[in-house]
Amino acid sequence: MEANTTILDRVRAVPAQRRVFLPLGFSRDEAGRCTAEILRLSAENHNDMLLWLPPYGSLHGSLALGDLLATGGTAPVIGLLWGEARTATPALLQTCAPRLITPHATLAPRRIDSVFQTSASRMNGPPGGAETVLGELRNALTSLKQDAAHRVWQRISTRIGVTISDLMTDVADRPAWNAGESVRLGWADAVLQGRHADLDHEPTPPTVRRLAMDAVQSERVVRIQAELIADMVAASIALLFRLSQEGAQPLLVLFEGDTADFPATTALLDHLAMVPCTVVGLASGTLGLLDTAALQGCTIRAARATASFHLAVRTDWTQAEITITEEMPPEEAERMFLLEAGRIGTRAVAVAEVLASRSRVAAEEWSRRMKGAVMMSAEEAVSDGVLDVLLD
Amino acid sequence: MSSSTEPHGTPATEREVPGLPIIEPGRVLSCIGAVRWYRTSPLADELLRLGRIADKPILLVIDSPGGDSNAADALHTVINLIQAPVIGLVATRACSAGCEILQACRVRLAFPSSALLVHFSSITSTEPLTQANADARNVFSQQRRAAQEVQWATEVRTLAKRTGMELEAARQLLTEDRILPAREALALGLLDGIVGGK
Repeated sequence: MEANTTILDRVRAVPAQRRVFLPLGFSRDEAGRCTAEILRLSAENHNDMLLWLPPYGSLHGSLALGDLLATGGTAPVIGLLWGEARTATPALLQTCAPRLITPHATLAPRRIDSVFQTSASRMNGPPGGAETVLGELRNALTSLKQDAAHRVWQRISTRIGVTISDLMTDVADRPAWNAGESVRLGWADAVLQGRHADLDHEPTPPTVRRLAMDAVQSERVVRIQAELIADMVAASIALLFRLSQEGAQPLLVLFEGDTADFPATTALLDHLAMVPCTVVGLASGTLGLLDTAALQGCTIRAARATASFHLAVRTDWTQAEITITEEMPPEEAERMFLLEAGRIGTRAVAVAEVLASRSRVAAEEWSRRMKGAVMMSAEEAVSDGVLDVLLD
Repeated sequence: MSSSTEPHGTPATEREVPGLPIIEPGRVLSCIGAVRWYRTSPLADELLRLGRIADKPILLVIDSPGGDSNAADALHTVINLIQAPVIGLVATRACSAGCEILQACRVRLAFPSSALLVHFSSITSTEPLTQANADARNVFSQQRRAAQEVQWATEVRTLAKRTGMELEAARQLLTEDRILPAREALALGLLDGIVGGK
């Protein structure tokens, strides 16, 4: 395995035109266009390509693209998986080399089969004679989906070197595993850890203001709007990559309010740290816990003096994904509850560690504040070290 | 001048307004209605686009009963970062979050019949979303009160700095929570001028 810094440099060196972005929830057509693009780029030269893999997308599209990559006939394709990855994208990652994962990504392969079943059961037909034909179609689709699901597991099994039945046993015990565990279990080669650009001077309000105004003037601004959702973060990350390829001048990221989508916001944090140029993050209004964490991905962490930081765990990102029903045997219900509690707890710990990473306050103290839903003023944020500088 | 039926952030047809600097075609924007993300977000994008052309003023027509202070704050940030001067013109009212947007403008103008309202902001949007138990909720309430005090102190300083008022006078004004006619707002330093009408 390559050293992490070498991999980061290799990823950063991939030019914009050789970065292939699969959109979040990509369709079969979009996967097809991506396949054609990889073939076209491979025909140009054999330099690295970067395939940016979202957490989910078309099953058959993923399989077809994976078939191409598995032939080994293309230029090297570095795979980078982000978010709470499910269905076929972890399998698609297995066809890339190296297989990279962002630090706050999680793999949730347990959901593969349930998604296929839901998809097949959606085919409800009209009443009357058409029912028989639709029933046959439904059966055929179910069979196709099952076949595709088998191919997904087969692909993972082959690459990881574990039998399908052992894989099934592994994934039955836990809903998801984090980036480090994914590497340990052989699902990825490395966690792509970002590294901030070096600053040649201590940030002061006038210098940061000048950097921010210059970024505005040169159209190097990314706005992170309130109530950020995964689609928007995908667009923001794509813009970040494009701007970082267009020049080495500083970028300005405006954090405009409270967001709630945990996988999306932590993916943003991971990608901010991968940008090779200076990134000025500027917060205004009341930021939530996740935005405060994402701000830590910026080289310079700035806020308006009127900004505040609400360290509250919102229900949006702790919402249960596992349903415990009355019919469930008590021991199974308890097992499910513990799994879910563990997932939420893992997220809270991850955020506390991010806040502690560049601050003067330990992760345990951040956890305590999160439990108390503490509100911090901008001045307190500076004195605790989660902010570098305040602007009027 | 922009009419209230025009989409927000869309340049209105330009014409010369007596008492106002001449604004170039396409550089008149409007913020009309409640301050909400879906209105301020395209407006911020348009300000960023127009703001890259330095030294050419942008006229922002404001008629707002107030709204989301986070959205106003975000717009305030953008207005402060662009090089082009933004002239705020209050048509009818600039209350609460609307007044915050006005205070971000380089030049703050109003018609004689317009009114302004400044008051302390409140932190209301996040409490119902917390999943805390009763004890944690109490802690949250205490912390929120403490944070509110800090935030209010910031707002007092900000208003005093922008208007030239004494700190105590600024605090008093924010506490009173009352509508200010344009003439009074001018006297208090919340406006730089009143245009039209005698």
